[in-house]
Amino acid sequence: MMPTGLFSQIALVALSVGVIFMYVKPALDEVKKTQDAISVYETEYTKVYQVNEKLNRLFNSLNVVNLDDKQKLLTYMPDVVDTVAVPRDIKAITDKEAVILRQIKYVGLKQKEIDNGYIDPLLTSQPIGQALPEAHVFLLNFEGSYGQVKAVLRNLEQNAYPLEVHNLAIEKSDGGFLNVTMDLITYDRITPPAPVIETGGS
Amino acid sequence: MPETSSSSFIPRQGSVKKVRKTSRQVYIFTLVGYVLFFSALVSSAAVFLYQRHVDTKYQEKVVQLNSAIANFSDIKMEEVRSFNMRLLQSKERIENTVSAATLLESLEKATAQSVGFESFALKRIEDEKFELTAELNSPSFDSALFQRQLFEREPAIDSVEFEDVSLAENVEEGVQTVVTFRAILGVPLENISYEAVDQDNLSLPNVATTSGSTIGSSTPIFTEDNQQTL
Repeated sequence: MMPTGLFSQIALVALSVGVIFMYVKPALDEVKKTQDAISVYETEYTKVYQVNEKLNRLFNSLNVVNLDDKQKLLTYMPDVVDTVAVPRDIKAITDKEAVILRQIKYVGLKQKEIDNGYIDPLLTSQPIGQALPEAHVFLLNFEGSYGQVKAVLRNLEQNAYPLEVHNLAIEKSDGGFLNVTMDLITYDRITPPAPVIETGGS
Repeated sequence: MPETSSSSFIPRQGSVKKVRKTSRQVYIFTLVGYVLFFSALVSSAAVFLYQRHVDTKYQEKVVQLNSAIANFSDIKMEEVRSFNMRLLQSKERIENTVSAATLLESLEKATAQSVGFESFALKRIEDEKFELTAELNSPSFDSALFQRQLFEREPAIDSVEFEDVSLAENVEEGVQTVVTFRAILGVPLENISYEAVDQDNLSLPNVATTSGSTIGSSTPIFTEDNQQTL
């Protein structure tokens, strides 16, 4: 039985309008906010999912690299330069060419000329030069013939890890020999700071 | 004669029938009121249910995201980052690897027979170029000029500068004219080739052996009698 009186009808309309404005509209607004939050979560989930996928893909491709190659890479760019092993290797090179060894010395770190920027760990689109490895300087002084000097240089540049000649001075010494002094530089890996992964939240 | 009813022109008065008209009026305001009321009720119910549905979906998305974040492996990430960084840094160094021995061979090819080296210094300017400074001597200014031309023609050398040119007489072996000068040469790293060798053929554990195959095609710049032959 529906009220038929005028007052009842007005009350009905007022009640309906009140329900719409007091409940339905705020509820719809709330729903919209929730839907926006869902959209944000979906976006963030997609990002995290893609990162996880990419990470898994990269990790799997890393595992495909054989152990021997990994070991060579580790030798070429170690975590830390062994300041005893490197002079030993340099000495082995000079001994092989039978030059007169005068001095091998670890000088220290070369002054770095890098920015604070680092390579994105996952992406390779970043400029490589922004993350130069740490350079260690070793001084080598020996005497030998010109042929021996060249042979030593050849051996140094064909080493399993870089021994770059950065400063080389050759002077004549007694007995027809050459006195050679050079700065050799080898590198170890810089560990960049871990990236911060931001995720969306409500 | 009885009158028939059909013959009379006076209409017969029939029984009066009152037709009662019932009014079924529908008021617009009432209709609108009902529609509004029911709409409000239905929409309230629908919104309530939809809100619950959306809230449930929201909770699912939160759980899904948290699960994806939890699946992220820091260990894997660190391993990949470490390997990637090592690889990139190694690649960068390999790309900038140059052969100092090859540089010496280039100098050998570009040195005149009559010109001798007193001393030689090489400085690497980052990954851009080598700066070479050599103290040279020659028996005449013509030889020095010829030597400058040879350096300028050498493809590996991109800048040639001669300075401190002076003439002296060597009286040790009779009177002999000696022109001394300093040559400053710029050699971009990309102009110096580098050929890697197969590490498997190396005899030392961590060091390389010389290939020796490309050495000897030119005459050494330093000789015992300090004379260079081209």
